[in-house]
Amino acid sequence: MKRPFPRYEVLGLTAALALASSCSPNNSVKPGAPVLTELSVLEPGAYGPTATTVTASTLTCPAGTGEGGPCDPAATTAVCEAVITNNLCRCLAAPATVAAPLALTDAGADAGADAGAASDGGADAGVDAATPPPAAGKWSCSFAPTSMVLYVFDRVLDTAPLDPGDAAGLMTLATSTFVPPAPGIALLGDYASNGSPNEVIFPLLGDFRSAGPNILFTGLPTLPTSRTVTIALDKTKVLAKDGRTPFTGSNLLMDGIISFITQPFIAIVAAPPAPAAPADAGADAAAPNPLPDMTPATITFSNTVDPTALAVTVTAVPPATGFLFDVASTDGLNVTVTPRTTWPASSMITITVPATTTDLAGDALGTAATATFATSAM
Amino acid sequence: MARIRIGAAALGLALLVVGGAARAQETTGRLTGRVTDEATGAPLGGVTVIVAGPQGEDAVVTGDKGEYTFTSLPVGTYVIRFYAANTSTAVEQSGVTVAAEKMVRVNAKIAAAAAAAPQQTYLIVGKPPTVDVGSARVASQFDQTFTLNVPVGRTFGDVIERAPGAFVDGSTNVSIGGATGLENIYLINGLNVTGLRFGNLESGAATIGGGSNIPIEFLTQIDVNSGGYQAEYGGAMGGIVNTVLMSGTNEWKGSAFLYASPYWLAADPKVIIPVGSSLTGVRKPDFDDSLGVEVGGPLIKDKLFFWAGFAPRITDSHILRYTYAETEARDAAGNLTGQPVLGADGAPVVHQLGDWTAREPETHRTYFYAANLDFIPRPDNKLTLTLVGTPSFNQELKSQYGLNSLASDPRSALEELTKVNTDVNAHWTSKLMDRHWQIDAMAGMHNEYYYDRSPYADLNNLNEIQYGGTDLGTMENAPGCAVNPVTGFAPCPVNPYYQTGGFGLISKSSAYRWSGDLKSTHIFEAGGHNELKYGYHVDYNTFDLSRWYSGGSFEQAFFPNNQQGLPGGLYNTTTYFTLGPGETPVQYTTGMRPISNLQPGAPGVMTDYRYTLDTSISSLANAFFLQDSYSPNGLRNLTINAGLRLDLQRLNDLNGNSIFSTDDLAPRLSAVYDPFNDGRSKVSVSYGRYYEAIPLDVAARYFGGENFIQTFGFTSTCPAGLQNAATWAGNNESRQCSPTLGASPVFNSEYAQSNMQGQYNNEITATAEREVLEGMTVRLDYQHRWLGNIIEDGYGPGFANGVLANPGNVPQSAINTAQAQVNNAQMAVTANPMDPAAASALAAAQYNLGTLQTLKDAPPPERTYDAITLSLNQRFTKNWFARASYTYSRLIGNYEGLYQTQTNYIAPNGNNTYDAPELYVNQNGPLPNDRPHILHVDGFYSHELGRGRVTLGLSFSARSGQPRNYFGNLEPGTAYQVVMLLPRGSAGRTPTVTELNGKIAYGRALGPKMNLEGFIDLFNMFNQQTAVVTDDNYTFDAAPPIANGTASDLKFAKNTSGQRIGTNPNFGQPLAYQAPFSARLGLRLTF
Repeated sequence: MKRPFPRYEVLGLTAALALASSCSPNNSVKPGAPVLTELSVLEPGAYGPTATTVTASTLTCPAGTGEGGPCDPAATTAVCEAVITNNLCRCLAAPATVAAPLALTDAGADAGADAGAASDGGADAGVDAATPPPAAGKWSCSFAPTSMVLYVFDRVLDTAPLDPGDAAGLMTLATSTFVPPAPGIALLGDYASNGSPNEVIFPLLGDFRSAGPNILFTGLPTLPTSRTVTIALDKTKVLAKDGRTPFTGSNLLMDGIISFITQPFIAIVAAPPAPAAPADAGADAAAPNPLPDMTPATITFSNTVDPTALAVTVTAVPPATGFLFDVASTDGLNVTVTPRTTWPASSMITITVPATTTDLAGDALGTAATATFATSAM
Repeated sequence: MARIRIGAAALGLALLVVGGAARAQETTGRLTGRVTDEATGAPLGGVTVIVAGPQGEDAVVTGDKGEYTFTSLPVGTYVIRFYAANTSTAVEQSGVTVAAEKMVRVNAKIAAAAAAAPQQTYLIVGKPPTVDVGSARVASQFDQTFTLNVPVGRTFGDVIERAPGAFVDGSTNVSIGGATGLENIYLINGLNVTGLRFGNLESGAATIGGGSNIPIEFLTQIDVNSGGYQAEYGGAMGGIVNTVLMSGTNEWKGSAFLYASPYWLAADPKVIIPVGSSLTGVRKPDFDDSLGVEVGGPLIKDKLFFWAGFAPRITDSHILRYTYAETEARDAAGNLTGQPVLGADGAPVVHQLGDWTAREPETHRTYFYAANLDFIPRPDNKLTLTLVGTPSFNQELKSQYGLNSLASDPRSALEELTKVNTDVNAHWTSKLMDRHWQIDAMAGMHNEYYYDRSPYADLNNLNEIQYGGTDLGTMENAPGCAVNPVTGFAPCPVNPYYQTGGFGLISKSSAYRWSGDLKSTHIFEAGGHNELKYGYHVDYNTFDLSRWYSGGSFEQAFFPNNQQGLPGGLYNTTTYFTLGPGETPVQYTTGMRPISNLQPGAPGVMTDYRYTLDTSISSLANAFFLQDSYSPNGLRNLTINAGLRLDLQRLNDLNGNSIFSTDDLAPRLSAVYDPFNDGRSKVSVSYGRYYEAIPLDVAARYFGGENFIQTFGFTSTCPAGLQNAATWAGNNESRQCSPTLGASPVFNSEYAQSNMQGQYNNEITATAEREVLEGMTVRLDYQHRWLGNIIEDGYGPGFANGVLANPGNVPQSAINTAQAQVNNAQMAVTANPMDPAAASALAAAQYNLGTLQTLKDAPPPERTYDAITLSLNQRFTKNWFARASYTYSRLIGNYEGLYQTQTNYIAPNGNNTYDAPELYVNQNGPLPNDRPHILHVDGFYSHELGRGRVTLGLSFSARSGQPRNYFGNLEPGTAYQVVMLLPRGSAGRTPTVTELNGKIAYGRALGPKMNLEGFIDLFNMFNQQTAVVTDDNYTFDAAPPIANGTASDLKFAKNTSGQRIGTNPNFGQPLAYQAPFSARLGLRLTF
């Protein structure tokens, strides 16, 4: 029988086709060391955490950087590492001066006055009102003790050293140093394997961990106040999927070390809000006093207060016999002081948080915090 | 005749001026061959070749090279006779099968005049060749030898999946060549009958229409072109399914048939018992019967032929709803805990309540009809008129929002669905200049009417209400489901929603495709044999769509009434709205306009609120082609096909404005070599580019004014009698609640990129085919397809509204255009900063530019298909017929195509793939239609038995399972389950699916031309109910993907709240099984 087709051509074609058709993508994690791409200090904010982020391109701070000093929030050094102390600083934009809306043509005296206060005053006030100057910034080199620290990587990590079992996290993923020392404080590390730099939706949903695989550290029970906190990621625990290769990073991220100062432990006591002034009250009328009702007074702590050490006192002048109140908090930061019945009417009320009040790290306020207010008549 | 010739010549001249070409496939075949001297092998010119077939005879004379060609032969079986000049000697070849689009070579050797014996006819005993030596198509053909003897379904849509490498995908249509089921083109007698809205074929699925699908008895041939087709064909990125309607012949012929599938010949389907929801059910057949008649014959012998068929099909089934209850656990002290008793697997232990708790009847009535008229005034002129209709009236369980429709009040779960397709077509063929010039002209219309509503009139006027977090005890007061008033334990939870009240979304539409086609073919010698063809094709498509919510809106309420410390349960109300003149979505997403403006009833904005959303969109598709089939002198067994096709498509929005236009060039090149020049073997290669014919859904949805507004509130704000939402009846109760918490708009008003390019595949094929035994061919095909470009919508920073673009391939010119729009808008704002419209336009332009840039930087779409197919075809010879194919293929990429499997989303060119950059991650891998191994074996054996004939048919198929994935949610509280948590395909595959079908038939002659056959078809003989779809939702939490992760990383994935993602207890559980065993009885009377 005659061979219908040349043998070698057919075999060659078949082999080539078999090879081509057996291709499939390699979806394995990229080999090599995980690269630390971002390191952020996350401070609580009204709409989710506010991040101060160190990347491979973050620089050391310019000369003269210091708490409260002037700076440009748009500069490349707006987040930087102090040269001598290695502590993290960031330039916080000063609240922008609010110009009169759409006041290009008739900025007028009021707009000019407002705008001038923020810039140079003077003859071009009208222009300033329409296009306010860039907001100046101030250096801030201290962070809330309720901050968290987030390490973001470019690829997934070896999960064996990061597995907390059923616990909320591990306390062995980083070493922490506090100066002055803060005994009993630990860092809880929690690994999230998901996230990628391709993010649009998840940040909108308030997900601050979506930029890549990450480890989030929180102080246990909290970070201590007024300390220099240094966190160093453990290179023997944060490894590539091969279980051997430690993470790496560039420049300031090379060793996974971050250092920053925590703000002091303070308390701010606020009186119950007073009702709005009547519409027909004159300009010179005195502001109304809080009502003798159950509207609570509030105490805001900069760090989580130790509930067992919280002994708020309330005094009234003239003394109110049998006056009782409740102190409550859901987060240890915001505390309400609520009268069981009402605040004594026509009284001078003083709320005091004693200087001995401590946070969960054991640091005391040092100075008592008080607020005094007068209540209106019944 | 002269008048006809003049008219035809004028038509041809017009074609030459216009250009040329077409989508309509050929419905006829060709015969070619070479006549040589039996003694010397020299070519014999002047030999008269006569073919005799179903519609009479035709004749040509061989040329100097002994060659002859017949074109435009109706499909059928022919006898060819060769008469040498000056003799009475004839050579006859019978049994020549002519198939649509196919060129069969039949050579003959005859004695030259001097050697010939007078008055002698020599019969060629061997079977004629069947290999298509004219093209490099990768194709399969099914005629009635196959469809009536192999156990297959009732319509041609059921036959297509028997093509090599083909299978039915999640769209309920057939995947061909790695494409999704929505990427094929379907033709009946050359008319494109593909579904206008989605590009699908009617498959009986609920809540969706489709293209015209007709019974196998109406068709003489079903041709599945899987690739390698020439420039005159376009519009498909999958396959082109070309069907040829029966035609009248010179003999009156017909058949009457009856099929009956009673319930007692069907096995019970498997029941899926989901974890966490007490409702499930199964569809059980009552009967599936069809009967019909088709008849054709000559009205005027050799000139006018008529064929008509009518076949009603009535199918009844019912859904049985089953209820399962959980049992409340007790603690060590014997107290009820409010928690369910858990099994060893951690899932609640359930027990069935009674046999079934609801019975929902379904009925389907389809009245198929078709007619065909062939008029042949002269042998070289032919007119064919075709009429096809598939009116269908159904009552069935609706398919709703991807939710389990069984979790419903039985009345509101049903839909009344009317689907009426009508197709009309006229086709004229003229052959001129001694058949060296052929003109084909076609004009036709395809119409789809669709109306979906409740069978209960009262439900069309009430709001549909979905209750989240509820149970059957609350909703139906179901026995055994009472909620424990002390612990709150609900034994019969319903997840995710229980639906009741009115029907919901009512939809009515009418779509038309007006098609015209003009082709000119020239056959001439110029350095070889040439068949030059050029032509023009036009489709003008319109789509009128009306939608409204029963009762005016759609309501959702969430239980319990006091959740998460909120004052009462939440409710929300959804309705349509349209943007006012000059309004843009960005105005609302950026706060430039308050959302409250959009709330129904808001002062001064009632015009924005629509009870009924009407849209009328259209598209225009023009195509020109030029191609030549060239066989060089001295190598006439080589055919080189070269062609170029220009596809011009324009989509118009509801105002008639162009959404975008594409101008796409599609080159085609192939070579076919018949190594022995005997028509029994070939090798071929081809390259081609194939553009998509864009279905109309994308224009209707995203450029038809479709926007939704959801208003939210607490039920505690409702009047006293309505604060318990369970008491709502669907009479717009939420309108009586106030104030609302807010509103959330969903904008489907998209922006289209400029300079849009069409969506296309590239393809290379290689084929080797040989007739190894008489009537048996073995074929090896290789097919390599790769995606070039797609049209899809996506979102960018801000997530305001979609932008339709070429993701991954956005041209710089489009970016420049968008930038210019920003600049212009900026200038307008600078000129008039007080103008809110200018500010709005600027915001919109900036958003569009940002999104385009995002889509430009997105990963380019990939879908690469590699397939090797080994097939065997044994035509019916010596009582046997067989065809078998094994395909090894891989389908790898990041883009499925026009259908999205995970969410069962049918939104061609508008699915979720590029909705957010988060979705770009982990996408590359085996696509849902990746089925490495597909085996089809079909055949039958027929033998005389007693005074009749028995036929045993068999059909076996096996295919790899579907790749599985780990999905998470993109947006909390929605069903946006599209985040690929791990790389595509990481969860393995569903099991391999095999199925064996059988047929036993016995026929007896009742007269010389009458035969009666009784048969039984057995489907899924081993009742293998393999899981074909599993639940791939690993979590319902919104969570970012784990880039390149593995299953071991899932434990560490966090949701948007920073918590470990919750896992879906039903992950990996079957969602659908293979259809169970069933049997069908039938009778067929042929005459």
